[in-house]
Amino acid sequence: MVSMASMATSQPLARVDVRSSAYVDTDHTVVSTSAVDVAAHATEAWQLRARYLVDVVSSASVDVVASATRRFDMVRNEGTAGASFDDGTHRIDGTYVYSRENDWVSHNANVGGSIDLRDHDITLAISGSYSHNDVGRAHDPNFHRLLTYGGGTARIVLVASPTTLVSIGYEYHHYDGYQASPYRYVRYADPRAQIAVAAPESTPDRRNRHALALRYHHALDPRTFLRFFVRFYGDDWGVVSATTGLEIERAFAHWSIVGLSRAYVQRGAGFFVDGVYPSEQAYMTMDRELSSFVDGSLGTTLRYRSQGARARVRLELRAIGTYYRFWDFYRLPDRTVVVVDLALGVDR
Amino acid sequence: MRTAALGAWLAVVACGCVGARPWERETLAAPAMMLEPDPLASATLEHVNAYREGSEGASGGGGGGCGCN
Repeated sequence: MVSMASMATSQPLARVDVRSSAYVDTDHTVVSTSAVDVAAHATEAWQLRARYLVDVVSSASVDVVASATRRFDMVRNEGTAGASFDDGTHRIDGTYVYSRENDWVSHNANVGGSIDLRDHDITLAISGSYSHNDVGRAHDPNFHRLLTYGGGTARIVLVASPTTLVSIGYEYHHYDGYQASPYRYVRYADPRAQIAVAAPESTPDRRNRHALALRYHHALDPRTFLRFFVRFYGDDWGVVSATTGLEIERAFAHWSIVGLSRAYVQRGAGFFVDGVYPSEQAYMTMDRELSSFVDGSLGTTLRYRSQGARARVRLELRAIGTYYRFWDFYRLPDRTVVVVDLALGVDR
Repeated sequence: MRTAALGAWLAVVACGCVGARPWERETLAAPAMMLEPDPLASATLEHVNAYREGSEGASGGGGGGCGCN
């Protein structure tokens, strides 16, 4: 039914999207991302896709300062290739992603399929993925660690009414290998020396992650659309979180404007300690993403779609501001993030 | 897992009473109703969120290396 929706809008033979985004936060980190995404139909049912993405990161975050480097600059290149088959009722999709940066190389593969039932009122979808990561450390050729993870998703999408779509999805991932940061150090109290001793952070090798999400899309009238999202997450490190989002889109002849909001609350990992560990532990981390915190986002998107006879042009400007409040991370009580995206797409 | 199965079952039961005829799908076909209208836009935002929060999954998107270790 999802594909039917897109087919009803007449699928383009070829599509090119270019997107550039800037991320700036109050923790002295700037990330600029540029991406180009190309898709073309080899036959009516088969589509081939390719994407290239580059991230340029410059940071003097409290994490970086904690690792004895004042600032780092890093470039990450990512390439994606994929193919999909869609006959209007059955879909099969395969994607390979290669990513490389100075201290991290990853290979990712994803395959999935879906089928429409009951005259496209129900779509059942499953997918599986595997990722192989070689983790290094800048300026240290002897540091090599391995991280692999794999998992799967199951999703059901329902046409609840002529104006309502509902989707329920479950995702599981099993991580195995090095999941700490080679640059981050923790401190623990050493009773013999009676001082706090610094040591590399250490986290469990294995992590089982579960997420359950519900999406609800509803047309309030032919030009006004509401999109609601809620997700619950839990893993065996003790991290539990809830995410909710609400978007309202108002469409005009060629333009549409979207107002969006998102809220996130997280209970941190069981082995996370704010500050100095009372003694040496098997697992110790200073990763603020494993602490307890809340964040909230507000944003807007402005879209333009031309409807030419031979080509269709899409323009998009998106701006989102997010405020994070860390409850038990003494080095950084809060952080504000602004992300601005500009995208151009052409369909033929 | 049990909650997911229960939710899916309830959704299927609910869908047994409703749905849309082919001629009623104009609104459903609008780009604003698509679950992932712009995969590239979703992927870039998911990437930002996944590496600044301790959780991930079940909301689409994906990608390669962390870019922030």
